Amino acid sequence: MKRSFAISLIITTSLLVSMPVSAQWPYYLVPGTPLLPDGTVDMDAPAPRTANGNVDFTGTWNVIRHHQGGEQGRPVGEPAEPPPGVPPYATFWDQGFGFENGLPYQPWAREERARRMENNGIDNPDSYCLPLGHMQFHTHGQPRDIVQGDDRLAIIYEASAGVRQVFMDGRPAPDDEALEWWYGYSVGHWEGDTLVVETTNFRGDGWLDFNGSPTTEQLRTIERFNRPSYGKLEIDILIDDPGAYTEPFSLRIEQSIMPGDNLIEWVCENEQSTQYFN
Amino acid sequence: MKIKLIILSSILTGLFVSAPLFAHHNFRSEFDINQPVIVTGTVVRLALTNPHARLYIDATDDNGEVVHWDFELAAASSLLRRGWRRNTLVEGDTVIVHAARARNAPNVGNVEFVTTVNEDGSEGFTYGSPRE
Repeated sequence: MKRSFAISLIITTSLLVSMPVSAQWPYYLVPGTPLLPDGTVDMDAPAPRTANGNVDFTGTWNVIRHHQGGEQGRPVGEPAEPPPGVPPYATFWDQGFGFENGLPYQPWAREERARRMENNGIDNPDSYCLPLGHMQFHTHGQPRDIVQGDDRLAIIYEASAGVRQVFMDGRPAPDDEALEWWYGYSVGHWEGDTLVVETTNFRGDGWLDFNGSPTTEQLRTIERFNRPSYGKLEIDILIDDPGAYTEPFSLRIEQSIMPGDNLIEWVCENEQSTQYFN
Repeated sequence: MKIKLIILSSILTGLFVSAPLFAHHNFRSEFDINQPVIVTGTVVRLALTNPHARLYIDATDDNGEVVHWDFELAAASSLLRRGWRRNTLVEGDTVIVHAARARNAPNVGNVEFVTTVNEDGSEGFTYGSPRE
């Protein structure tokens, strides 16, 4: 009897502890969340739409990882094969992981990436509470909120409390003489149910991944946002940066809705750890 | 009873520690995973801050001297989603910290998991901290 009680306790505890993370964090399901007859969230329900009929990307999103994770989540093993017609999956650590020969670096960019890796990423902006690059934000393990209006959309990243704004009111991007920004300048338009976002005016010292694949002020990205179902977000992003790469390339990012969850305040205080960096 | 606790503790550890990992900075730049350390001591303060929470504990070395340890944890928001709260560890709690030592600083480490110790000396709960 004692033994069976102990086993029951272990199983019960395991179930409780392995419940969705959202069960541990204050859980509030927003009105309108599609539910199945058993009361669980219907992740395969159609994507919601705004009053004017556009697909609504609003929600809290968690990155989907397709690769096996090693130390600190570094992708290891064989790259996951995307469906036909879908570009290689992006990873936080190494955007070239899904490419047979890695990214098409310009020679200086290949050397710079090697230098950054050799230095254990000591000059990664994120280590000093400075913003991550778009690709790191898209693939970060901490969630992000999309807040969508008719004429603009904001993406709020929990990591580093990053904020991007996408203008969808037809305004042009500023000229090349305007300031360069950590997040660039993003304008979007609809192609059917796809939101197409072009971003320019980046700073020239960006990091495309944790390993330090560089980007320059010539970087231009085109992101295609799709929400094929209530639960899933797909972003295909074209990276076009002739300053650092010999040809453009595309990556796939996938994210899953986090029903009932929300961002947690994340103010990057002085990084107390850098004093110990080697 | 002790065996049950060990089993329970192991399962809890596995579940918490196997949570998805992600990165803030390069773990290798600060810590050496090949230098694991287990420290038993008394909690001085748990600071749930970002980009990393900190756990300060006092331990006694082989010479009977008090040693102040400074441990790095995951980001506060990551810990909150995994069940940590402000009072998960409070001043005076006895804990066993499993960590990796810093490469170039003594008495500094990165936590893998922390196990509380009950008043009767038995092990209590284990709280994991994903490596970021």
